[in-house]
Amino acid sequence: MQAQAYVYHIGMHLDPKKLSKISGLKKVDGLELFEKSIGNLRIQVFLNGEIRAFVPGKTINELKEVLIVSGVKIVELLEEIKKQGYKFDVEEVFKNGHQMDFTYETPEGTRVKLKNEVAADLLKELIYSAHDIMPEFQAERNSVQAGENIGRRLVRIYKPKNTDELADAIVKYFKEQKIGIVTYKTKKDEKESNMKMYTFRVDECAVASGIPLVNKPVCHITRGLIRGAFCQFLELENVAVKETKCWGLGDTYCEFLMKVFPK
Amino acid sequence: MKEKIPRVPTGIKGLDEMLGGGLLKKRHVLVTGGPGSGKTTFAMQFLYNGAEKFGDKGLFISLEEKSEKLVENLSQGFNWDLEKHLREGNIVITTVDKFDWDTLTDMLQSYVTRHKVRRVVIDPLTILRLNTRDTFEFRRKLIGLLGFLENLDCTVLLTSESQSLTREASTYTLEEFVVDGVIVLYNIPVRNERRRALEIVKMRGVAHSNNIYPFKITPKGIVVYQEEII
Repeated sequence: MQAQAYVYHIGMHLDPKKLSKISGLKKVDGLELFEKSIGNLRIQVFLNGEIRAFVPGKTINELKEVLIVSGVKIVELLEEIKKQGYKFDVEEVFKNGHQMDFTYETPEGTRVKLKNEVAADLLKELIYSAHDIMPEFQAERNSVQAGENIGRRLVRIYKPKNTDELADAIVKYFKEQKIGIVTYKTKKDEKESNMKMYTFRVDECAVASGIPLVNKPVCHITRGLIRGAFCQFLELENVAVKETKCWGLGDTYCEFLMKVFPK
Repeated sequence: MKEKIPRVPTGIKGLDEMLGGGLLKKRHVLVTGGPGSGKTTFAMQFLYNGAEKFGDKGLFISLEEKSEKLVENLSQGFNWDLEKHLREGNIVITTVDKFDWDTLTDMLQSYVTRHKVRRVVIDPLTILRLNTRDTFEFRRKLIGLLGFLENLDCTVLLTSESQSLTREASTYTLEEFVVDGVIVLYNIPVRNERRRALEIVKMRGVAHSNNIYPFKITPKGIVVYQEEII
């Protein structure tokens, strides 16, 4: 996978208290991560001194064009950070900005509650290294299959009586495994199946937290898990799960929409 | 000596003889033709014969027609006991929500790995092409999907629409280059009537007939007449 983001390294740990004093830099809810948007350009400041710039949906070449105009905003932000008492050469940091390598490390501040209680780095390594040795499509299917196996197993373990209890089982599983903090909401699908549609939000996702923009969702294992659980419980296969928000798409949490569609 | 790839007979009279026994197992074949040329009938017959004669479970992914309508149409014209196979779960007909690639692949994966489906039809592929951002993306996804299915134990038949009546007048589509085999169905005007004909244009790894043979859609399904000329 290729990151479609630029990265600048300040080279020192940043204090969240100091970062919160910088005007226009907003703390992401629930995380120790700071963001600034300038038009479509998004800038993320991590506590390890890493600054990422990206435009969701745009490739690295398109981003470079944006940076020709908006690069000055990054310089201004670096100046602001420096004013908080950090010693670094703004020009040098800016000049050394480069296309980010795809990383599956989990940066500090992106799993505030769960931290490294689960070996997120190892989990990511197992998932993403498949992309190094097999076609991307196969690697994704491998994750979906693993997720689906888990999802189907959840039904046998938790024995839910209805779909809300099944959704609760998914929440519980993520909590027990420390792979994410799941919340969900429901809405009746009045247009098509007349069944409930579920939207699952996953914060501090072990698979995606902290990965750079790749312009596609990456949590195939969770998508497979949700689908597998509902397929098994409903004894249906016409269940669609779409990942609508993901770190891979430039979001700071992941979201999945589950619906049953008519045959 | 290299082991021969097993065959998957279509059960279509005359066609399996043209193919030297049937399609190659775990390969993907495109059936293309104009409107009304018999693509959907061909595809369903491949599944029906699979279930009825060879004990293969089949999955029909209908991207254009609703399942009920498809069953209704096919039950009217043929002496097939399609309902029995649908009831017993030997054949599954389904559609895909808003032609989403992920859902399509998720479903395929489930049916093949869990329900042991051995024959898959996607009808028509044209809809997937229309619902994909650009040609490059379509090619990437199609190659990925076909490569993935090749590793699973199933033989895939895809249909696609062509605009012209004859091969010479048609433009070769991207999917024709990607798949292992291409079977073209014609519906050609001859004097004051239309005559149906079939040609195997491409079939990797198979010494197939190069002739164009007439076929008819009978109550038993498609029958190819190798002894006749068009």
